[in-house]
Amino acid sequence: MIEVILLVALLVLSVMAIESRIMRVSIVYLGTLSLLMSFLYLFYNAPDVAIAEAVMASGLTTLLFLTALKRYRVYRICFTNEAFRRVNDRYIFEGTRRGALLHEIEQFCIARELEPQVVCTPESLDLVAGSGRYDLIIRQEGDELRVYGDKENYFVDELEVLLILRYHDLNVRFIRSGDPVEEASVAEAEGEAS
Amino acid sequence: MTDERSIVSVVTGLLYPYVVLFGVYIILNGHHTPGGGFQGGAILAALFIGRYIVDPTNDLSITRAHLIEKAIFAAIVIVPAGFILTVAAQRVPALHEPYLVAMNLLIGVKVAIGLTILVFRYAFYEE
Amino acid sequence: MRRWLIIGFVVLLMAAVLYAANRYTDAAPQELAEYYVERFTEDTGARNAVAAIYLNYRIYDTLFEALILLVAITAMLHFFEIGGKK
Repeated sequence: MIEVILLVALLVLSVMAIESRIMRVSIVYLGTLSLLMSFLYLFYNAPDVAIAEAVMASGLTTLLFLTALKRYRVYRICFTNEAFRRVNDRYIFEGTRRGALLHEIEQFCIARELEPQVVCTPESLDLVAGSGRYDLIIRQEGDELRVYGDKENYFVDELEVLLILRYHDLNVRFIRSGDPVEEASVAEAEGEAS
Repeated sequence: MTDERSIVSVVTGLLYPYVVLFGVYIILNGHHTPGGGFQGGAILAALFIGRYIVDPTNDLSITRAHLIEKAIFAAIVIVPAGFILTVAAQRVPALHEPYLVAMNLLIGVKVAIGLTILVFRYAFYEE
Repeated sequence: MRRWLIIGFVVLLMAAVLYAANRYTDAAPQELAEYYVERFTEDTGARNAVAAIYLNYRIYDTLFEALILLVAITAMLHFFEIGGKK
């Protein structure tokens, strides 16, 4: 009976760990999963394996995942417009629709436990993308906004849906690729060709 | 943020000596009770990593730790080669228990150093 | 399409592994296990059978396990050059 309960709980917890959208919650589910697993090993008369499971999976990997989360929590966004002569944060953020969009992205990051860090610059896209320091690059070209982001990132997926639904009047275009730098150079080449 | 951190650091500080004791007990008593070098070493490593979570100061020389680890691996190879794989194991049965304790201790220290290097390298340096 | 290919590959791989695992029936004789369980205290002086097996009967397993951890860490330090960017 105990065995069946434990096995079902393992299944439920593993599905919950995969399906949870918040990283930190997933990590806690995984830790609980390993703890139950070590109970199960104890139940099968394997105390050595139970200790190893409890220490390694429940303790060490949880700590490792939390460390990783702590390191990758900052989400760097770059807003670039080559038409600017110099950058003035007030001009960019206040009162405009574009400012509302940047603000919305910031709120979106905070809701997903990321620390947004917006940098506004008049530098060219090549320079910004080449630095490799940004997770998301927004470029204004005339009245068109181009967003460069990672192709396989779920976060950018959600952001794309949000921005296209809410800010279609701003002419937002998403350009997604595996690597922002590479994508930017490809886009440049296309622009020159056309 | 500060409150969260102070709770974690107070609890870790309270638990620290007991966890050290527990890890050393598991290593040294591994031949009589469940446990052994690997499990005890992992507990000690978890302790160092917990300390990193509380207070991220980088005071571990990775090169030196790696050197120590290699030396301990050499000892792990030499000790069984000199005892269990020779006729000494049959001739002097009294040495069996000290041999088990020594091997558990060596493996425990090696695993603790190895896992700590892994996490510290990952936490303090970019790729 | 790509997803279905991956799923198909995983299922095929699982079938192959299960087939190979079930074909291989050449196990250690039962007497060996009984011998270990009965005699490990006299043979090795340990009261924990697991410690007796991994530090005495199957010492090579332990040696190569320790070697694997060492090689993994050496490789990691080698490929991500140590003390690079901080």
